Amino acid sequence: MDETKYGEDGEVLNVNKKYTFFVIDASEAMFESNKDGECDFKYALKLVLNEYLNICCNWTLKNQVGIIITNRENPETNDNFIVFSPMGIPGQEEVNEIRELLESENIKKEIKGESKTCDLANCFNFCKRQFSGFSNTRHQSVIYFTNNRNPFGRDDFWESSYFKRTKTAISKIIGIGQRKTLGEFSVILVPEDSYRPENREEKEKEAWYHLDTEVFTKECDSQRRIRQKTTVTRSHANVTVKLGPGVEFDVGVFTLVSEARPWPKAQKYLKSTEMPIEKNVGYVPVPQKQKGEFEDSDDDFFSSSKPAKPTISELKTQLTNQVIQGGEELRKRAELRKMVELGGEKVVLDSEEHKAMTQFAQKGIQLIGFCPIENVDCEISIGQPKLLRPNEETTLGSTRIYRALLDRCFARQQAMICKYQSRSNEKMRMVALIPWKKAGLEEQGQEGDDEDQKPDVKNLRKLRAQADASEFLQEGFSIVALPYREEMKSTVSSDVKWPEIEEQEKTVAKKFIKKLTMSYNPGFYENPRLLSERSALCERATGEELIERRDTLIPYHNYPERLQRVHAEIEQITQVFHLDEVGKAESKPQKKRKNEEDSGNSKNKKGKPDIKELYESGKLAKLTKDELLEEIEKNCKNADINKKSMKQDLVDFLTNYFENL
Amino acid sequence: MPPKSKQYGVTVVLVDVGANIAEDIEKSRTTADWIFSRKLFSNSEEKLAVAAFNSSITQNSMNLKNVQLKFINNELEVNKNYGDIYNGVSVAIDMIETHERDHDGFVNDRTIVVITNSNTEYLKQEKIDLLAEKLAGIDIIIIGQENTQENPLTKFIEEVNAQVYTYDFMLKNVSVFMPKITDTRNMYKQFEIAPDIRLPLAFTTKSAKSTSSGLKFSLVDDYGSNVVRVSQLNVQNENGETQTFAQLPKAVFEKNCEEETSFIVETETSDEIPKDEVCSGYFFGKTLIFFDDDEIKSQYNNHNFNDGEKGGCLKLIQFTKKENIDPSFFLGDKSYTVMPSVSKTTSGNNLNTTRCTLALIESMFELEVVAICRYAYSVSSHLQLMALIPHFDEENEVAFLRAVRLPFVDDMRCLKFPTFEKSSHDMMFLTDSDETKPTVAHLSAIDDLIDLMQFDETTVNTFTTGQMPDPQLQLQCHFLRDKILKPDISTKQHLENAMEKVDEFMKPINNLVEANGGLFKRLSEEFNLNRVVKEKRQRIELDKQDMQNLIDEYKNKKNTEKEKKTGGNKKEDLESKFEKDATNSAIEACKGAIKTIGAMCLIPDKMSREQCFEVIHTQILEIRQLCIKYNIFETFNEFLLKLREEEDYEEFRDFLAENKLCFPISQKDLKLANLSENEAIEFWDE
Repeated sequence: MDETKYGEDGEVLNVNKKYTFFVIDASEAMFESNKDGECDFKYALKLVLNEYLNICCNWTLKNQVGIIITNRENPETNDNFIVFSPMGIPGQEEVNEIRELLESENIKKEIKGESKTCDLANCFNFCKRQFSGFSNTRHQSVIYFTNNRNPFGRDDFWESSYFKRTKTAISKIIGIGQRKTLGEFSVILVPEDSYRPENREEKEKEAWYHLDTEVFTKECDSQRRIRQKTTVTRSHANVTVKLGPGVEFDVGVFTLVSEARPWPKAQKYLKSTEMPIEKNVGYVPVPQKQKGEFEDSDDDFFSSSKPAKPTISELKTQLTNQVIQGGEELRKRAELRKMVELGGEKVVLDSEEHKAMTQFAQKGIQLIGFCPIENVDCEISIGQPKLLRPNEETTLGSTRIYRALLDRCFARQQAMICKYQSRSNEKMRMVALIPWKKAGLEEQGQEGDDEDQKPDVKNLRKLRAQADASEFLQEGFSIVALPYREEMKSTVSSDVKWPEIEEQEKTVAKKFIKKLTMSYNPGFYENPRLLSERSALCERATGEELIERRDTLIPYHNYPERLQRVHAEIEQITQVFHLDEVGKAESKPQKKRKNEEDSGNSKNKKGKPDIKELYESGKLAKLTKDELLEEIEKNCKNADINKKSMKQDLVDFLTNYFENL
Repeated sequence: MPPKSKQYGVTVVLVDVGANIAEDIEKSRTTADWIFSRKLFSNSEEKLAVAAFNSSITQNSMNLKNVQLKFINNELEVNKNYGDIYNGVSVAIDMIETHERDHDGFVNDRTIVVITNSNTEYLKQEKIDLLAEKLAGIDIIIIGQENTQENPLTKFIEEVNAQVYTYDFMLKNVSVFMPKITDTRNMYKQFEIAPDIRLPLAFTTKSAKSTSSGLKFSLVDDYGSNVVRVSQLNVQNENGETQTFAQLPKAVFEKNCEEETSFIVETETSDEIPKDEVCSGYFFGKTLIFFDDDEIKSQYNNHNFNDGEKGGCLKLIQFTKKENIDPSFFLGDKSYTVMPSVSKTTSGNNLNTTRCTLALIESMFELEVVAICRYAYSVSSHLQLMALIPHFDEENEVAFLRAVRLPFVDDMRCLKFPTFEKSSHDMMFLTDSDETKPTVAHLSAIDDLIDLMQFDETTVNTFTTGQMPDPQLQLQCHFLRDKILKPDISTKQHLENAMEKVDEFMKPINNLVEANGGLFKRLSEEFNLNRVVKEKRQRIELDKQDMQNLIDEYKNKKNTEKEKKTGGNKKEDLESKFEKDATNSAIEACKGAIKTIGAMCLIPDKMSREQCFEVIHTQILEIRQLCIKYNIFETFNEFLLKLREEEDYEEFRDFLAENKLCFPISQKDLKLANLSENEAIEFWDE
């Protein structure tokens, strides 16, 4: 949070670690080629590699991972599984090891040991023991990749002692009732398109369903499921909701969306020694010239005498000396005082005073009242969206009251307006708690509380949108931070008289819009910058472009088929609004004026110099490089031109082009 | 003429301190105080003077200084005479005229505020005429008139066209601090909706998050002089020597130099590490990978996919139904209002694009779709995802867009929660039944809560449309004001005074809670919420001095132990004891340790507690060593079990478990032991 200034991270680094074992089945069946000529083992290993890459590119280094391969003879332990990659923070070496295995011609041969059935219970117990060796505050997870739907040998698997032992081992991993350890166990069935029962009855016939109820989920693909398991879902704060005197319960606050940060400002190293350059940031007083003290600051701007300031070089030498000497001279931020100038007086506060007058120390969420959701303008929200979840561990009964509030607020479409402070040193905010329930609209219809709210077309659209984004939507109250007056900027003064728009004009615009209206969910667009950073890092580490570096935010008209789709509409728009008279020059008014002065006749009606005329008059060089590139793209189909070429090259290219026409 | 930006308004505040005001002096003082305080804290350019009038006049110079605030608070005394408003206003006019004579052309606005109740003498007509003539070009405001129908000033008010307010009205409206309002500049973007169609749009900031309160603080050292942020760089060179360099940010020179900043081309780097000797290191997992900064630029264009268009870009990627954009997706740092941009040199052509833009917005509004765009703020900034959401302004009958940022998939947190409905997962591993499902009675109690705590419309708007002032700013301003006026009292006292004022300000928003006490009783009975109280033992109140002694003792011990690396006397003592009678010594040592730990757990301060724990921890390890040596395992393991199970040692248990510092004696250590190695490893997880 902005508020989450990752200040927590320091702490997170030490205690909030996440440990994951990827356990891959290496039985014979996993190596049988499927229709694409690939085997399930390879597919599973690819999923794991992707997650390894993801973890390696996450600079917080919170995750530790390991790989275990089952159903392989291991003479050392007699347990028939081998540790392919031990638990630890992965790096170049580990990733390359996986890649080598993936690329080998015969994967099966490359793996140590003979194929031999493994006792899964023993394997999971091994994982559990490994986890136990780490600090108690941890998030542990085992992900099992297999294509064997029932390794327990019999149809009434639940009766077999093998199944029971495995279940016990898994419940130990999940670690219910442990105070600080969060555990998870999941099964990824490969291949992706294998049969997935949908109703409960069918599901219950499957062995894995009894160990991982999410095994057949269709909400998200395997890669995303893995990501969910390796991401820490720890709450960012635990706060008390105070409805009123004597009615209080605890909730955990979870961040829903927060801007993923790019690479942190890199640590610098000296090239020659590869030694880190340690940076020591501090404050030094600004050197003043001795002569001419500050005027008694009667802010009279007529007085020409200003306090004397040193020259650049003077300042530089003085400061450099101070910095190099370091020590006492370099003050820490916390040691400094804060000064504010008020009414010609300098008010100086020490850090404690400043802290005292900044903090309300009213940690918690205090209900102030209710209002209809439609009154809350979520678009002007000025904080990251967060989610509240009841915390039964610290308040018994919190889930019930939370559910009751959610139920009623959602049914009546009411938002809770509250004072909110997640930490006592955080700025107090006014927030709206907006309730949201999955498939709530259907339910509403069934219950018949609000007869007039029967699902109509709009609600159906809403439901579809929910289904599309289901993995991103969370049931519960989300926090919308309301801005203070200080954070609202002036509204637009509309002394402009806007023209009335005719229906016919709108019809044209609507046609255009409709043809480009597509579905959307937050999973659609990747941050090109982060993608590029990851790609570069992986390329350096492995020598191969494992992650494709590309522009993920391409405008629709760069896709030929999409441009084609609205071709007719664009022409109509141009025609109806007479945009051809406007042309591009209009959008760059300054340039237009310049062109008018410069090249009198050489521009056509559009107010933009015609490229051919410029060529004929030999004035191509008058165009800027960008304009030249644009013209080349427009005129010369399939032109293979390097965008980094010199301007003269571009002029030559165009000249050649027109000569050959 | 001086430039427009340097012009300012002048105001003279006249406070009636005649005998007639005796009852109302507090109100007058508060009103005057607020007028000054607000200006002071918003760093206003305006110049104000305050004058107290009755038969004689106390005044001060035209300015905006704390002195005036002090004057209002400390020197406004009720006089025996009756107020003479004629005299007062004449002096005020005179003050304005004098000031204007000295500062020719700078004054662009003149106001006189008179704070008086109506109980003054009637003004003679000729005096009124005289004032009316002189008051041309000066606004006059009169505060404190309860009854404007018939009072001695009615005539005067009419003649000079004064604005009149009551005390209450004034106090209600001015008793809030306002930050300095800074104008935001519009941002102009060409919205590219098709290869050749670019629609000019104007972006105005609607809301923007601020973490500070609006007061500008700067950092100073103990002597109050300004400081600058600098960096000291240390690095080992080839010869293994540590070299120190200074890094001075450019901004230092921009503010503190004699030369004009525009002449500063670059700060030379003689004392810094040459740029080409430095490279950046990034971690790929645990592997450190080096990049040249130049390389990142040339090979990856600094990971920037912006096309380098001047003024950034705004290009249409797609439209989507409004339902697809859930409010919980907004990144939430800023929002803009977007209108078609109309340049001043509007020609007929420009109107065409405006028509096109408006048609597009209106159509989007009617179709309920949102545009998703590729957006870059400037030529060098990175790409972002921007949503343009159509709205319709009923009042001005115009459609407009709201622009907010959408998240990338990278920004969405991977969260996965079980549903509240009875989940099958719980069924498998936990006890059955949907205990948390609320009953009908629960739901109806909540319904009543919603009904009783409904806001009226004006209050709702205060919150939801951003009209509520930031209480933090109020707190800071009151605190500082208190500090200025009463420099002699303690910080705590200042804070209490300020808090009192802020509470008053916050009162209206707490009203609903206070009004509905009975309901909360019912809710609390209905839901029976029980805080899980960690059963904390009554902490023995240790005397501070005792506590310090205890801590010091252990600190010393720690130090001495460090000095005598061999282990010190205590260890030798223990060893000799074990030699004599191992079994009993072990029991005794464990008993002793447990007693000490029990005492240590009572230390309230976590830091000192853990320091002590570290000392005792080494002792425990010594005992463990000796136990192994003398084939004793039961005593030690039982001792650990006791630590783990009994509440009295909770803090120490956590300390050991968290860091996995000490395990029971297992078969690995001692063949005889009753615990297997695995059991020992899992000991702290049980």
